[in-house]
Amino acid sequence: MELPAYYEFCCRVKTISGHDVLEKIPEILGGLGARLPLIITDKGVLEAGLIDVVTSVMKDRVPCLRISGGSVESDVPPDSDLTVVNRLAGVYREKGCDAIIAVGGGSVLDTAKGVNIVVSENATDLMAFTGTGALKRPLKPLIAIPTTSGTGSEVTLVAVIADHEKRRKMFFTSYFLLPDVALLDSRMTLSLPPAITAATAMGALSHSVEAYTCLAKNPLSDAFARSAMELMRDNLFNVMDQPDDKGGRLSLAVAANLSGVAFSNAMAGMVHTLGHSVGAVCRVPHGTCMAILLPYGLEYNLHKNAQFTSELLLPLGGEQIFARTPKHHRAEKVISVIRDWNERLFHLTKNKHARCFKEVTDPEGNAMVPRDKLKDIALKAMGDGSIFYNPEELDVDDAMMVLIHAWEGTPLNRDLIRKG
Amino acid sequence: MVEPENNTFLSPVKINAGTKALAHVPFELAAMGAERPLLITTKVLGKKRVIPRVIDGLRNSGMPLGIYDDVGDHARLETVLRLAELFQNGGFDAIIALGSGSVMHTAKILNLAVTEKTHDLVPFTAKGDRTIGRLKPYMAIPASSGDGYETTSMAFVEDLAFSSLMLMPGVVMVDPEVFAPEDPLKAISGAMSALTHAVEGFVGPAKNPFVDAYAYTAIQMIVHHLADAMGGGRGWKAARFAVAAAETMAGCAFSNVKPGLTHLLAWAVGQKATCSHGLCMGILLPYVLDHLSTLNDFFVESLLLPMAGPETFAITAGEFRTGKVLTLIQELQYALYESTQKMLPMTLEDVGIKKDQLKPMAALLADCTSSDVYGEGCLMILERALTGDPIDLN
Repeated sequence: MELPAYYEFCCRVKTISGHDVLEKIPEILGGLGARLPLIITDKGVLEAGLIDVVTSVMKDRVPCLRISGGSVESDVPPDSDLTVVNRLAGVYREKGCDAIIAVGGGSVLDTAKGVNIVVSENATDLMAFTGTGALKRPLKPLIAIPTTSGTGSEVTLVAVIADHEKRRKMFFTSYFLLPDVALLDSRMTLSLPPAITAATAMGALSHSVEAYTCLAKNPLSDAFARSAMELMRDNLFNVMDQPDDKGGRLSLAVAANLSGVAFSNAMAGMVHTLGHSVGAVCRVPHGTCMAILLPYGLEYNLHKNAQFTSELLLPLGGEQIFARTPKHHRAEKVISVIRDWNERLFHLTKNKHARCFKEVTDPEGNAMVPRDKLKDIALKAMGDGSIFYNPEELDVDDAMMVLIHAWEGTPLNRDLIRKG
Repeated sequence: MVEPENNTFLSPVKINAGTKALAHVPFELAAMGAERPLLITTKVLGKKRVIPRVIDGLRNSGMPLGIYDDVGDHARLETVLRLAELFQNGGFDAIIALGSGSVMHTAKILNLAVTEKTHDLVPFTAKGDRTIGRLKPYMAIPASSGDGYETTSMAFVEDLAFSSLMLMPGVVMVDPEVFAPEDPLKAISGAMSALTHAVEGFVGPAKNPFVDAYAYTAIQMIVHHLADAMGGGRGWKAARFAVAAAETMAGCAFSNVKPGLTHLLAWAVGQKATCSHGLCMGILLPYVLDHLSTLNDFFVESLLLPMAGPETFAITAGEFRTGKVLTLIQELQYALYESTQKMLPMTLEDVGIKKDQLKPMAALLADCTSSDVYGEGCLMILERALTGDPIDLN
């Protein structure tokens, strides 16, 4: 087997998964030497009643741990914000908290990580802690409870906080930012609507697929990606058919976590490069961008990494399909399996799961990606860090070509790809 | 794929593996918040040409480094306590263990002693009443074959046994340049410990995707590279390095599951045998797997994927996979047997075990574990391994 000359792998977050693992929170806090957690979440999570599930298990189990003594803060905006971070840090200090529980998706976790830096380092200026290696010691205990099965941000060591006043984004990277514990509880994702289940699962799939097929892969990230894909293959459509399938929900949450581990250790490629850009320019949710772009990324890179892509047919298609498909057709079969998943999800969500960018609409039904924005998207993509890990070099003309096909929903003409 | 149910997984180990991995030591220490590490190793290793070079390299990186090279072949309490004093008086804030076996056991318990600032370690043992919390930064650099516990949550110092995920190193640096040729039987012993630990994590019963990922990778790398790592040929160093990385991963998997039947039986055999625990595990592994394949809750056939790759896995019908797995393990052992000029013990008789010792061994195991899962099978496994009974692969 081929091995990279050098690689690093780290998956340091204690991950606890099950149908009733929230009940362990008091015990976990005790183990971390904490008594009064600050719970950080956002409005959507609060309104879905998920915080009640979290707080009720804490009240019932440890009387002294009344949530009124700690604090629940729910004003995290979709885009983590410096003012909010500072305000929450104030609440943390005022109430004498000694740990943070983040309940939500990526922005909630980013905010929690920001608050943790402020309260642990007594920082007045977060800017001093940006970049790599600025944090020198463990922070306060942080528990992450994801409420979607997509981002895997509960296992990543980065945080992005926007300073809207100064119009800049601050990036933090440190192993000390990793949560101490991630709790994957099926109750947290049980009520996700079908379209979000579909989009976030495809987002997780894109983490795994890109981790496996792009340049910074290593044998352990491969194994995490493979496990994640198997779980998605066996569970995604069961959950779409039966949304209250607890076992299936948990498997998808675990798959998203495994994908997050794979992706944060192997980085991603052009699906993320273009997806980030579509998200930034048109405010399209991450998972939706990933679902649409994933087959195109594989198609575009096929002449470079067909070997890796073809290996994915086993975890994605299963033994029968893998064995039945001749070796030189497997990579293309993988692409068609993914297109087929998108197609099925489109129908199962009553056309809400977009197959191409022209089908993406906001809740009011307005198109979100106007065709004339594609040029802006392609240009912006050139500045994204993930572009370095893409197997084939992606220039702005090729990015534009891919985006046009992804907008229309037509396969790439692979003869036109500029091959380096 | 087995669905994840209630499950906890933790592997605090960051693995840096490959060419010039050691150049990252200062960066990794800084990332753990450490500035003044104490490096411990053994005099035996210090005599090999590569180790002084490694230490010089670390010294030249500008980091203040304390060095202690008298750990010895066995982890001793006296050494731990002497080192703890040295650590505190020297103002050190992190530990680097360079070597294997005894060095790693010593480093883990030294870390416990200096973090807790105590000489009384008994309450922290597996039988004690104190839990082990977050410890100081600890980096491990594997440099020779060991006993299979190096990166695990377990540590043994004399007759004290410790077990906590907190004992595991924060970073393991696996660098091909650190390895020198060594006694092949010692190398096989270390690799067989790792292979057994990974295999037993992978086949269950407590199978979960996190353990699977570490175990899968370890199995794949050991099966592909072990024979070359022994050979001394051109690709020797690269293969030896791959096996060392796999040993690290197997340790992470092992720390998250209960010890399996091969591990336990080998422990019972090891009380009387003339060879290491690792070699005993190698002798027993195919027989244990043959037995487990008859039980529910074990997935012996699934080993074919990491061992033989997707092609062979997919074209082998389900009912033939177990047989194929056992063949591959036996072929691996036979290749090792040949490469050691037939020095590698292949049966329990080869390691000095007599037939009348088997019953007491099985009884000892039944006393020490809840072996109800395995039942009567234990004695049968030992009897078959005694003489190298051929396995019926159909």
